[in-house]
Amino acid sequence: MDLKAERLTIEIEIKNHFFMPDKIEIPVDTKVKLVVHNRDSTSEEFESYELNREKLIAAGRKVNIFIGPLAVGEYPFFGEFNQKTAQGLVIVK
Amino acid sequence: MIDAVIIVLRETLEASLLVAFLFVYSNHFSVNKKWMYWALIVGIMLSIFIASELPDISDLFDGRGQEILFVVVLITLSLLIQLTNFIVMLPKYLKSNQTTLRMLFFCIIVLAISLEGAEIIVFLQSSIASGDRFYSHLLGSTLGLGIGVSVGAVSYYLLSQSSKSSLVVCFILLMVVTAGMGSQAVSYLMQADFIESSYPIWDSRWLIDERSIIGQLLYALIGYEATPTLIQVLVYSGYIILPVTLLLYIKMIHYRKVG
Repeated sequence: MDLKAERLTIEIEIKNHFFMPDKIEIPVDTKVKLVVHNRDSTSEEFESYELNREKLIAAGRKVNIFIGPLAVGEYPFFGEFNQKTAQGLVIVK
Repeated sequence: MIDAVIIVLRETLEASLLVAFLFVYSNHFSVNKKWMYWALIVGIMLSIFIASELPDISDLFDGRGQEILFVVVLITLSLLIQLTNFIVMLPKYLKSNQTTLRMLFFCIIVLAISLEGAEIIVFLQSSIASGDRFYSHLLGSTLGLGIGVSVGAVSYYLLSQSSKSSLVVCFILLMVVTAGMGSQAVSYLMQADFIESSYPIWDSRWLIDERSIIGQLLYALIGYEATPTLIQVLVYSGYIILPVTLLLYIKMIHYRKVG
């Protein structure tokens, strides 16, 4: 399972309080490692009620967040400190 | 500003309710509250330390440091609260345990404030760095803090009205708070890939959305999650079933001896 997780790594950046990309597609029933780079000069908290995930990301740092296996559907996530702009979506197909 | 109110309120509510319940216990068992005020100060200092070190803590253990810290604090906190509940529910041991209760209250408040406080501080630091939004965030945070503390104060006032039933209410509420902490710890362990995640066993978003005010309140009070996994539900149930069974067993043995 770990080897599989290593293969399924998706990189996301936070820039000017936006997620880039803000939509990511992942396969159904698969564990995925999200690597979130915070390129801003302020901290952010990656949060998702649907994914049951929350993690603080200091300015200029990166964190790993494991998600899945997930059923087909859409799972929104957001930056808690900048919710107006930092919005994203995990699409499971 | 409203975002700041919600962020700080969410972090404040749980700690505020926890302090309120412990205040009810301390009234009932005449435990000096002076220690609890010191715990507030130590907790705030610890939260400042955690907030400042969090970037480096997060990088530890192959990027799993944040989750490990949160899980260790949550599990320790939940066990200390369960221990407190046991001492409170077994009053025949209480006379010699005033000091133990005082120590437990102190540690619980310090730990509860340290995590929640650290998140508020990181948020405020982020607001300061962002410049223009600082004052609206500061105002929102103050409001959130005020509402959170007020909910705790009102709970304390309501629970102080009747001494016998308030003890039972506090016991039950503290128990479900610990169950919520256990479930949250499981979620962090999944996030850091220490344990395998799985599909949620139910989806109650149609009934209560975690984003709603009731959802947020229930999250703080009973650790409500709309889409929990099986392990989370098992851990949550264990936090309730195990202590209640053990407590009933001890009481039964005691009554048998007396009878």
